[in-house]
Amino acid sequence: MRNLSFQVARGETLAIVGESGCGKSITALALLGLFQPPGRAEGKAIRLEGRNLLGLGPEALRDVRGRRIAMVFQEPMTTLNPVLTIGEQIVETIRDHETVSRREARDRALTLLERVHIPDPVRRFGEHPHRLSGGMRQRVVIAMALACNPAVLVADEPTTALDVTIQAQILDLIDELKQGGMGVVLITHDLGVVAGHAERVLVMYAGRKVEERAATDLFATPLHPYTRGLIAARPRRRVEGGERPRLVEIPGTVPSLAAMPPGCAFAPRCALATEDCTVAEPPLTSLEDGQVACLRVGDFLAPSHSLPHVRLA
Amino acid sequence: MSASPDTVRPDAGQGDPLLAVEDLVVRYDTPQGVVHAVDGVSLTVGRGETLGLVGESGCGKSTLGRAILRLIEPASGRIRLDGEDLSGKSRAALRPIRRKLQMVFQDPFGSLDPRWTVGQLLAEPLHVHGIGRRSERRDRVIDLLARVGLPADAASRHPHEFSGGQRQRIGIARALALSPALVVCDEPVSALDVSVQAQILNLLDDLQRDLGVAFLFISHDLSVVEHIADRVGVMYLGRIVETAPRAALWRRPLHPYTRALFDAVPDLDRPAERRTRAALTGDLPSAFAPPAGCRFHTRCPLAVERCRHEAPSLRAVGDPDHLVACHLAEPPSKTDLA
Repeated sequence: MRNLSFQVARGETLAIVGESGCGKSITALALLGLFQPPGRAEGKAIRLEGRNLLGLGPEALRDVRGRRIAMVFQEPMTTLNPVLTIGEQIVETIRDHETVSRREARDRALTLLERVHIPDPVRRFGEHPHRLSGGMRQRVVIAMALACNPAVLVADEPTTALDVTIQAQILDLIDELKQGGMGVVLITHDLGVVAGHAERVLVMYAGRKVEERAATDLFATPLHPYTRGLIAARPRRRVEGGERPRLVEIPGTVPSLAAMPPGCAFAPRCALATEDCTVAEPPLTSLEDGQVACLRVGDFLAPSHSLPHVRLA
Repeated sequence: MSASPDTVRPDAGQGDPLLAVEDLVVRYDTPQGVVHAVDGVSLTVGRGETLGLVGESGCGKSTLGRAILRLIEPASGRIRLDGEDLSGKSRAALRPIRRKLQMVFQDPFGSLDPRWTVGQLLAEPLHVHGIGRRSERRDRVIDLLARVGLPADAASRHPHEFSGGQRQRIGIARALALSPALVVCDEPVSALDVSVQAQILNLLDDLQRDLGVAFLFISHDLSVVEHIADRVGVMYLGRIVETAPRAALWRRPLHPYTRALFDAVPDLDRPAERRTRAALTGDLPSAFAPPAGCRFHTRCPLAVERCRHEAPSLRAVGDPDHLVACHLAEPPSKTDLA
């Protein structure tokens, strides 16, 4: 992952989208300072409510983590302890970060279970994780993440392991929390999830941001050839009675970090690439509503392409 | 256990179907009790047709696929392929029929020896069935690789040297080695990135067009099934709750579960709309103690008293090809048709 900059406002969901190996999950770990050596985050700053997290020591960082920024992973059992009850785990999380009585922590834990819509919270409080379904476990993980009222929730593929009807419930829950003023970083490979639940979208390819736009604009007028390819490759609603349509393919595969092509990393798979694209990495161009990293972006923005919302800033 | 007398007969009038499954039951005996993973399922697949099978985890769709290949022994029911009854046949008697019936898995190499080369993997089914001499088998391997868009030199390499999409191409080539009439595809693109998924779906489309092979395409992903299927069966807790030609199902889903499933799919084509959907409440009931009556009644917004004790069987409502297992489904009214 290289030179990545982005912001999340209160009450906003920023989606980070990309395919496997694009660096989106590494981004999440960097935000929380969760790197294991030899991995390491370098850069100007990760600012949370004005404070630079990159300047903090391990103790101070641990305090921020959980209190101001919390994380939800794809597989709830990576967070949950199988031998403790749901209630014990939430109480422990609360008391890790705040000095409160056991009783008060218990009351707060029950309120949290209600807030994430766990039916019959008093009974669930005393149960172990294996008694719960995948969707319920993910709700418990979200309750733990909320334990200390974080300002930012980082959710890394939070619904990828869940069935589609349960996914809808969890995404609705995250939307509800966002309405309460929390900022959300939603990391996903699924553009469909993004379309209903994010205000802004950042598309990553091979460790770099290639496009960042307001969600409605990105879907109406995707600019980067990779973004366009991702949207076009998805099966669409079919017209009645027609032949099975061809899907638009992006040829080839994502380059490995060990064999990164020179210039634009997407150039070898890009139908629009010119020789220039294979020479130098394209800079991020600022637009009125976002950014895009493509040398050919000027061509798309020519009047003949009539993209109403998009102008170079 | 239910014994629904209804048989899904989509290709009635076009001769015998390629595959006919009748009232299939698959049971698992576990320490916690008996699970009826597939509980009285009937379906047909026509020649060169794609039947999509959708449903959430635990609905029994993968078990059904494996039971059709007899990778899992069904407890009862009949499976006929090309008019021949597969049920009750011994392994040896099954072998010649098995050539016509192959499978593609989500992880094509989960159960295969990683030390084998791609060429050995593709030649093995031919070897097992005693097809061709060594040199002929080698030629067939090159053919198969070309068929799925891989270079001939792939034969001397090992699966781990390939990307996920290329590995699935190899899995498809292996399934095609014996020129089957039907391939059961169990979540074949679920582990793949969107851009690669499109390549594999297009490949399956090409193969069906060129070879006339039929697919039973099992997936949890509704948009993928809508893309690939000619007809669709929707499963819930071991039973088929609705089946219809693709266009009819999307035009007018009849079962409340099908409608909930459709509503829950994030829709890229309507990104600006924050849909007010009636999200299904609650979780899937335990497979050890499925609800009496209609199995969906515990989550169904429309359920009435009758649904709690009487299991609905599949019946045609309006269109004879569109079957639904719901007491409340009604034929389209005149205003619907207008």
